[in-house]
Amino acid sequence: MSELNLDQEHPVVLSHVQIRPVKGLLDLDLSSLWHYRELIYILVWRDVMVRYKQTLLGVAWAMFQPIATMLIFTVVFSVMGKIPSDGFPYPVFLYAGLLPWFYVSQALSRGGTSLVGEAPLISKVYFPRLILPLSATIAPLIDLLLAFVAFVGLMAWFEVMPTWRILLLPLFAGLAAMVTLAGGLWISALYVRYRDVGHILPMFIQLGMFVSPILYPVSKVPESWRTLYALNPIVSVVEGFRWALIPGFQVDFSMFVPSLGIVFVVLIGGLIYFRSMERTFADVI
Amino acid sequence: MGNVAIRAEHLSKRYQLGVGAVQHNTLRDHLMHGLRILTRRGTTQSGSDTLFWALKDVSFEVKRGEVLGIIGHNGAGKSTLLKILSRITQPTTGTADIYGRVSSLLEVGTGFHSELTGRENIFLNAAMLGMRRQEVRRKFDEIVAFSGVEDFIDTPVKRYSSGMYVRLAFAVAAHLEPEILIVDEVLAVGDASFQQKCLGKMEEVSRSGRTVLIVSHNMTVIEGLCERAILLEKGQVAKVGKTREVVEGYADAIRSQSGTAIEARRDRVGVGEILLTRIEVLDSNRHPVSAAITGRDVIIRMYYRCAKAKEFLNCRVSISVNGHKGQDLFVLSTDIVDPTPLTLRGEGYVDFILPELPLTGGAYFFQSYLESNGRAQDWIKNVAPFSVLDADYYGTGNLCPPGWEGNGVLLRYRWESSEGLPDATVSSRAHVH
Repeated sequence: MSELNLDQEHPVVLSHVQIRPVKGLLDLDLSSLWHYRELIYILVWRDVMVRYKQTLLGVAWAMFQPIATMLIFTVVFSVMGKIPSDGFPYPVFLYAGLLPWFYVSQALSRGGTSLVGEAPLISKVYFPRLILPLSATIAPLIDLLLAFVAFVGLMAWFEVMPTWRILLLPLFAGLAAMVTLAGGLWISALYVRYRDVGHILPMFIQLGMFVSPILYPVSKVPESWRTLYALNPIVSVVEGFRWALIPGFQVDFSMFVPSLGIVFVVLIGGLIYFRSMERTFADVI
Repeated sequence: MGNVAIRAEHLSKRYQLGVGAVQHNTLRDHLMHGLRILTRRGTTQSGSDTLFWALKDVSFEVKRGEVLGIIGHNGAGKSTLLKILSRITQPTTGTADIYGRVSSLLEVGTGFHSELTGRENIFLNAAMLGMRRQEVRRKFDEIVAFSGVEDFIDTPVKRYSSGMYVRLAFAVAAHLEPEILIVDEVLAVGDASFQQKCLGKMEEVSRSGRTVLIVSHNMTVIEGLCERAILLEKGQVAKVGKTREVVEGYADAIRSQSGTAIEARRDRVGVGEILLTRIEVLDSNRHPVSAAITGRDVIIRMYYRCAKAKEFLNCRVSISVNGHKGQDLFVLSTDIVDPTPLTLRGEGYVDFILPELPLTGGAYFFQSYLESNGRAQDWIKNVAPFSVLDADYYGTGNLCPPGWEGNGVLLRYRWESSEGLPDATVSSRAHVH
């Protein structure tokens, strides 16, 4: 070896990694996510790019889709079905619910399939696997933002003036992201092991729309069922969005307590489960 | 300790094969399995879950700046070892200490997305291989120039030819600058001139003082790049030392392995509905022989057997000959000499009739490949040895020059000699004043 070694010229402390079988459950190692932040960024960017490539309307789809759904549902459920909306214009009421719902359903299905969908990556490169469900949860936030822009137009049309509460919207968007990440962690890791998840997930998401107050107000849920109903964390997300977006919208914040607790438990449990399964992903996938 | 880049100690990796691993991919299978265990409590079926050690007690050290080759048959554990060292999968037991930033290249074009342009894919792929965005920006022009796809850099890669795709992918990888580089058989892509370029790049990388671990089936590449090599056999280190000695050990191993019956071979790739069962070498009288003779007519007979009651359309039967270092010498394939569609059913054989066998004497190996409708059915590397006895090919009484045994294709040619310089040189000289 006559050639000079790069590292002898500039002596640096070489990073040291020890590879060994890991069996513990509580080794979360979230700092590695920070180290790989650029990969998170680029995967989010890729998801957004790929989604609207070779489409005529491009990102306009992110607005068109919820608007079209809102129009159809307004006709079916409000005009024909006479579903009440606590006295607010039904289109505004509905759209304020569809906004988080589109995000949650999309992030859940993308996050849930993020590992199996990237199987070649998992068996060929190393990176913290958590990045996949995480970036799949972040990417649809861009669509959420665009759909929100459309909502501003809708509010102007119905002459609804937003209040200071709208500033708290990011808080509820953050809650929505937490909810979907919690679900995404479990679903994606289970999907690696059990391909049944691929069949269950779409059904599960469809069901989710009906057990959350998207089409109807919480006031339509019988009082005796409310406690059970509030265990669904999407209820809090949707109510939070409506509270922030629709002036005068009343929310019973005590409902948030059980669902926040559930999100917390499911998220931490999901992290631990994901981490413990992560080691065998490349072998099983 | 300061000059060690990688130290592997007693690395082992166990996989589950058979019923246990293959069918437990749905929830129902898990439930059924649990049920079965409950109901058949007396007759435990521990045999249904076959444990397979892909690696067993592998220990070695790589010094900083060293280029280490890893060789061995398919299924010897090479890729598993690289995956463990790249942290893709974890060992069942044992440890590996790695000093320095690692980049591994187990596949070219990992993460390439067909809808994205060449430019976008460069950034994407680089990020996946652990390159920082700033670094990519700095090297971007260099990468594009190396790939030679400048004109298509803003075209989605789905419109690329496979050659362009591979060139772009390799160009990204070639510009990684880790302290330790782990490479798995990635040089076997692209056309010859691009391969040469990649090889040059690899040599440059190894000279720059980086630690490199490289897996290849091409012994010429291994011998050219590595000072030291490891031979893996059935998951264990069979030999470690100077590349030349280890490569020789590998050649011996190939010889002994290709002696085993083809039907019993497990290192085959493909659907497996058509299987190669036997290979015979025959002389021009169709008598089986143990060795062919240089310059004589020879018949290579490949026996096949198809899955019952099924007909296979558009088949391709092919056999290639490898030199003793594993290099590909030539291929015989049914479709290239005769485009009539070949249909296979039941059992049978295909004869390749070679007039005047153009190989120097020595030990060669066959590689067999069967396909139907474009799907690989049965592919076996080093399927059988092929011995050739040297004889006077050109009728001059001379044999091939030393060093070419088991290593050379003979061509028909002639040569001429004359005194003085050819006229062209004279006239070109006349132009110079």
